[in-house]
Amino acid sequence: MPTQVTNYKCPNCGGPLHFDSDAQLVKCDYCDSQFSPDEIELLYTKKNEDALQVAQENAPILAQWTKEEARHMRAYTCPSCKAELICDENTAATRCPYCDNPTIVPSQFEGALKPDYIIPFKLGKEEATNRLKKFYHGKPLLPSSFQDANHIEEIKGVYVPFWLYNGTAHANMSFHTTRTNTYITGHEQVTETNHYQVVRQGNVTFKHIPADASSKMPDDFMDSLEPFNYEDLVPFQMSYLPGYLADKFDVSAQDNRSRADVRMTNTTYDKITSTVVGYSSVVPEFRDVGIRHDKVSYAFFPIWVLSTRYNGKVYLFTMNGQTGKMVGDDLPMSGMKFFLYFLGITLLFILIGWVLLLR
Amino acid sequence: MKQLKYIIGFLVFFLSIYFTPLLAAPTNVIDQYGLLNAQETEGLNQQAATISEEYQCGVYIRVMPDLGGNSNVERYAEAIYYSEGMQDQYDGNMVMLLVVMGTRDYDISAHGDIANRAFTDYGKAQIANSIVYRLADGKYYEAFDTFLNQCDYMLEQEAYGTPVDDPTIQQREQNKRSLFQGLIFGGSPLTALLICLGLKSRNRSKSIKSTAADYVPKKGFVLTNSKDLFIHRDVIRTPLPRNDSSSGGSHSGGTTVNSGGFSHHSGKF
Repeated sequence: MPTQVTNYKCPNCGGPLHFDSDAQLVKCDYCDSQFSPDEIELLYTKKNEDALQVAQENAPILAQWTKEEARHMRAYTCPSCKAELICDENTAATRCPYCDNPTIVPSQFEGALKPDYIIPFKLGKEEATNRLKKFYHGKPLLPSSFQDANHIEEIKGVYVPFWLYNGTAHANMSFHTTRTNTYITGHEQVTETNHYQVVRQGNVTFKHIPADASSKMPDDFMDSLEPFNYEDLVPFQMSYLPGYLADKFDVSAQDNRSRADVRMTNTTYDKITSTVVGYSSVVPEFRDVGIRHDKVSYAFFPIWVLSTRYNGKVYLFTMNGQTGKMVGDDLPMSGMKFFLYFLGITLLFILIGWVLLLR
Repeated sequence: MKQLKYIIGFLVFFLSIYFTPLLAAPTNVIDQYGLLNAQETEGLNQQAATISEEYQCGVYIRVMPDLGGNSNVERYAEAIYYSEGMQDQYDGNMVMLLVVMGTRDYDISAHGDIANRAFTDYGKAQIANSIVYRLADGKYYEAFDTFLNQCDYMLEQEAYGTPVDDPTIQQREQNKRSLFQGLIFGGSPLTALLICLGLKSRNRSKSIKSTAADYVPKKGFVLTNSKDLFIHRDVIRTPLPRNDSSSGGSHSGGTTVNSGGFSHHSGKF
């Protein structure tokens, strides 16, 4: 028997539910009824427990796929229309492609898989589209036809899994520094250079350094969407998911740890070095950093993912679903515009220089 | 009859206005010591007048028997400038060689923008180098003729925009000009390229983060040990160049002008 999933439906009319980022409430697509996430969470606790039980009792059957493909796929039955849903093994929330009902896979949040936190979506799909248009502004070398010819092919709201690392870095650093003083006495210029050895030791505490836990999401995109405002970080509830996609993590906290460690180390070096002031020159001689790792938290962060097509090439854009910060693939550059700007600026500088020379 | 009187009166008035400046103009060469004969004086006068008209800068030679009650030869030259009305000619531009036979002093003085530009400290020194030994040898006409030729050359160079000055200074100025030209023609495309690459970088928006300063809470950074230990001191003493005030010393370029607008180069012959 296939694994059971849960459709989040309106308790009043049975219509599909979605989490509304503007109202920060769960709304019905049909009757506009509104519910708080806590209400929906209570309502669906029993259904999710039942789905979990079914998941524990049954193994997925994927007879039509090869062994390798089947290893990474899961099959579910939509409770609304009974259609068979084939999903990636990490899919935690999706929509039924047949009846469009938001579908949650409770087994993806069981036990150790349950996220500790979530930042709910604050900005909607329309905002993402508008910000994409604004993203093209202030880029003079972008081909003129890009905005007109570049059409959105797909736009989806995704809760991306993140590991949040906590820890304390202990640093021991030493520097060779100098202080120079120059003065004139009699008929001599005297330059005195005092040499010092400077030692600094200190601790730097870090809280919730994010690193995305999905191999599908490019790390540079996810890093560039920072910072997230942790004031909106709330305990995880499944009722925030309807209407959005979500995957559970497929990169473990241990595998991802080095990204956080590098950031902690570099910041520690910067903070220690910033305390060496009042010298003409500062040269690091020795540095050593040890990191004590504390608890790692698991969180879902909201990301809008947009893909567009221009001249046969697909461009990926992501928007921070909380702050609206937009990041995208490297945009194309117009060679003709580059040449014209280069020529124009060169001629301008030559003209200015020539006028100054004549004066 | 009355009309005739008016016409004559008007003519006299008109002619006096027209000719007065010409009649009052100082003579270019005056020799009160008798070093030159009439023919030599006339020849030098014509030469000096031609140069003066061409470059609109009075060129004068004065040979005097004594300092005329002035404290030094430079003061005497300035007094002659005002007493002979040289300030009214050529917008006050003039260069003068004053030779005082009694004290064997000479002074080459200049006044006015054109004259002070043309006759730099270096230029006046060069003129002095070429005439002083002639004066000392009694070759007065030769000295004055050389003076006028040098004035002609220096005024010509000033008109071209390249007044005669210390060659090392001029070389430095030329080097500066060449460097500036190089910066314009070499630096402009380089700067334009850097600006365009900067504009191109705006098309890139993603990067891996290498630091985590945003995730350090308040009071999250604590310094547990801080030591600054003095090790040793290096001392370097550099002698400063001395100012050389001898007449053969180095020039810093340009013209030294006093508060009266005069520049001088004087000495004994």
